[in-house]
Amino acid sequence: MREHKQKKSLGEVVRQAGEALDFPEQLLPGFCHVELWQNRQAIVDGVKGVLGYSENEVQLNLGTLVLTVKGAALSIRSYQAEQLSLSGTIAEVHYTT
Amino acid sequence: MPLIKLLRFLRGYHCFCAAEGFPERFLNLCNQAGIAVWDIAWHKGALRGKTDRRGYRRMRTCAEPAGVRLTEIKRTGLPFLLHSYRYRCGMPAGFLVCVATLAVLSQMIWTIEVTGNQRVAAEDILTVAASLGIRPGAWRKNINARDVSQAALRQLPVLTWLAVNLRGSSAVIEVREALLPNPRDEQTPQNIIARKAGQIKIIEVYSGSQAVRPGQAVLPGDLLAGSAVANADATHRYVRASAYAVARTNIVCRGAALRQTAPLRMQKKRTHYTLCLLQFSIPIGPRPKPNSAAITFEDHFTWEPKSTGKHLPLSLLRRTEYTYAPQPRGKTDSQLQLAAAAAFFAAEWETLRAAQVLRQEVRLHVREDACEIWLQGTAYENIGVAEKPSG
Repeated sequence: MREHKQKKSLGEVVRQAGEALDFPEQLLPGFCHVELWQNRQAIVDGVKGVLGYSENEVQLNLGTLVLTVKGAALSIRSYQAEQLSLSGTIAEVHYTT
Repeated sequence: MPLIKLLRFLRGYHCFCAAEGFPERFLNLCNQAGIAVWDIAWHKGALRGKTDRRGYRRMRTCAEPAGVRLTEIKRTGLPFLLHSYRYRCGMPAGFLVCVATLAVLSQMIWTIEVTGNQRVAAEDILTVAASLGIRPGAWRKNINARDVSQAALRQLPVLTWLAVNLRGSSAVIEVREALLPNPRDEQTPQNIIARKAGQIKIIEVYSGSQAVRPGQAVLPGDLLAGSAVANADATHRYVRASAYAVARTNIVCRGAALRQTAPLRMQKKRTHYTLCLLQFSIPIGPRPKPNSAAITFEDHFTWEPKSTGKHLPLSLLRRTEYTYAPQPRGKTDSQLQLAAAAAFFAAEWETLRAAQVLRQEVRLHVREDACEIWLQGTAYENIGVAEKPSG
């Protein structure tokens, strides 16, 4: 029996083509950029949405990943146009695929 | 960050509180709607944050689907501040009048300062400056500092330099005064000596001690009046000697003029090269015709190899001829004598202007190339001069 091939999304196709052509990562779809400043501040680019938010845990949807930041007194300093700035005392950073 | 805070203050923002429902969904809906939110934190079980004025109006449409109860905590920013003063027109009007007044008054001169003056009173300089337009209340744009400084210098000849510097609402007039000649030194001891040879006729000593007597012959540099004065107790004191010493002296005065005054003028220059090989001379180019009136210079150029140190039997002779133009005719005898007389009278004025001539003899020598007028005789003149300090 012929195996059914999984259909790739357009973004995935573009991403694979870009990787084959050595395009910069920033230009490819689904790119996310996480920047940590010590354990006090985190700047995340490519946020598709906030999955959960409390003082001790923030879950962010990065498209292909889910970023979980754990800590204390976490607050969102700004959230605009897929960029989110998080401040507080960051204890853990988890990626879930 | 202070700049961002300033911009947010200028644009105005709302502090809101989102309680109940699904705050995360509320945040996502706000982001999808392009509403900027910042400083989001949990406070007593509710989400608190800030957004701009336009975002707060659109935020209510995002709150309903998320089941969030949105309340406004406070409004901050310049638009709200101005809005609260909308019925008090006097305040912004007064502010604008204040700014306008400051802007107008800053274009005028209010303080004038004079620096650098010592002998000339500042009031005199200010009076002249006021007459030229620099006074409190004058417009800065009407003041041409360069013209004012030049005009003020003409009115104040005591000053050697004057500059007007406009700094904001103040004008600084910087001046430099002319230097005074050194005051006459009346204290330093000094002798009176003879400046030329002669026989003393009159000697009057006003201060100091007399060193010569009438009838005595003196040579240049001899002491006429000394600075040392003997006291009654056989001690000495030193003063600045002053004396009037008239002597009978020989006077000589000379004036001369040359007949030819025009310099020699070169008319022609010719150069000819000759190659000398052993005892042969090979002219390079046509040989010039001999000219007895020309002045000829010859230069030999030889080759000497460095390794041997011996001259090669080969040289180049350069012969340069200079021919000078005939000199123009000089002065006639009468012109020559007039020129000599003019020179003589100028010298006589310098020599005999302070002398009383007793006897004089004038001789005229007219030669082929020059004319001289001599004066010899005797005269009475003051020969006393202050001795220059040695050192």
